[in-house]
Amino acid sequence: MKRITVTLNNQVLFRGNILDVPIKDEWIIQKSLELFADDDPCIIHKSYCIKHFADELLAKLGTEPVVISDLRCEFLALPQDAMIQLEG
Amino acid sequence: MIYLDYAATTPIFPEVVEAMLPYLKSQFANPSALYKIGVENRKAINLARKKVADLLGCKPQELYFTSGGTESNNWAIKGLASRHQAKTIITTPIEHHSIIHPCEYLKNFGYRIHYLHVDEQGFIDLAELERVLDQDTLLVTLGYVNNEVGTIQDVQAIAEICKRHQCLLHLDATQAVGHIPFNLRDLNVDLMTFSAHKFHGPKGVGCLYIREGVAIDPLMHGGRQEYNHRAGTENVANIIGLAKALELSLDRLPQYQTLSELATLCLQQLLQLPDVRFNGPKLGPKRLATILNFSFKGIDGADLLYQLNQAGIYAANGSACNAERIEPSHVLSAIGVPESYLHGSVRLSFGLGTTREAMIQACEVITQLVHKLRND
Repeated sequence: MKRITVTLNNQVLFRGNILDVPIKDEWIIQKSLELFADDDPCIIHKSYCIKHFADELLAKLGTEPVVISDLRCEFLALPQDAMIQLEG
Repeated sequence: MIYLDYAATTPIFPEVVEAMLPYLKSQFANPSALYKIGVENRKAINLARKKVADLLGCKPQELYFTSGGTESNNWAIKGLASRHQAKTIITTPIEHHSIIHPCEYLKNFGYRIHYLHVDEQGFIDLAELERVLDQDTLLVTLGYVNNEVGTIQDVQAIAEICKRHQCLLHLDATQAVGHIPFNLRDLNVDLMTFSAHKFHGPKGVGCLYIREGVAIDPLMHGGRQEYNHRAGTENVANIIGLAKALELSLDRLPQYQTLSELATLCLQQLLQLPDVRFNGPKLGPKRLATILNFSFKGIDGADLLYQLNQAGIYAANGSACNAERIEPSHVLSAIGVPESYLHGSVRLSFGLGTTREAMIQACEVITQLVHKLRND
């Protein structure tokens, strides 16, 4: 899986596998309800939801940094003014 | 869509649906009822039982319809434990959870569980079995065909050892019935589990074969159904579906030659990849050719399955969840798949509906995805 970097004011907030990016718990539950009609998903189902989010995020990212608020990815548990980019 | 998860469940044959439909519509009566439409349903169940007995080589009264493989396995293990005095159960670490978990549960009541060692292909050590059997052994319970790596155990040798030691043998034949030819009379086992949806029948119905003379307590208490051994109103439609599916599956067993060729084709393609393992026995008489299991070093099997899913290819691996993390397959762990390969596994299981073109396409996509995931 792709690696991403998230920075804010030149400080690295997150660097790693896109599947490990912080996602709001409420969005995982919402996705689980949408996909499985389950508000208490097991770890395998959570992981499936996260892969969906990662796909969505990946489709919007390039190697140039962009402001998170511009991506309209409300599921990210990261400051909206942080910069996010794919590692080259 | 390319469906490569036949070991999880098989598509139901259209003829099976047709056979079941009347029992979901007009022929809805309770088979215990003593009026015409109830009596007809009782007759239908008894005819289905006779058909299954003929096909498998046993007596009708040795077959008990259940809700599926899990119930049958639980019944065999707990029902024998409840009836007999012996306190040791012998099994293997590569069994389905519906065998391992009832065994572990019985530890709470003083039972000892002995897990036989398996080699890297999943075969048990017959000498060890011979060595550990004693007067305290309640039963030996194990799978005929392993559901993840396709290992076909030498059941006749196992049965001979058990007979010599006067020990009961329960066989979980969930992945075997409808896929490999055998006759219960020749097999010489005491109990045997199977499930309809693994051979193109409906979900929610299975059987436990209990050899005549084997004493066992019921798991379900209530009415006098199933010779007073398994209470509950019979699922007539599913029982009819099971019998029809078994008949059709055994009729179509000769087509398995073609499926073996598909397995060879798949191996030829995927083993060209670097850092790949083919898990379980080599193709041949000791492996069910329709269950293939590969591990790819350096990738996460869950990522591969997700990407395959996105490409319309449906496969599985044997991962399980605990509270906090995804555990690798207990079968692959037990047969000693190295840690570097353990998390990168995928099971491709196929059957009568799988075409050569589909297999080629699936292998091409897997090859591309393995390269992609390794380079990401």
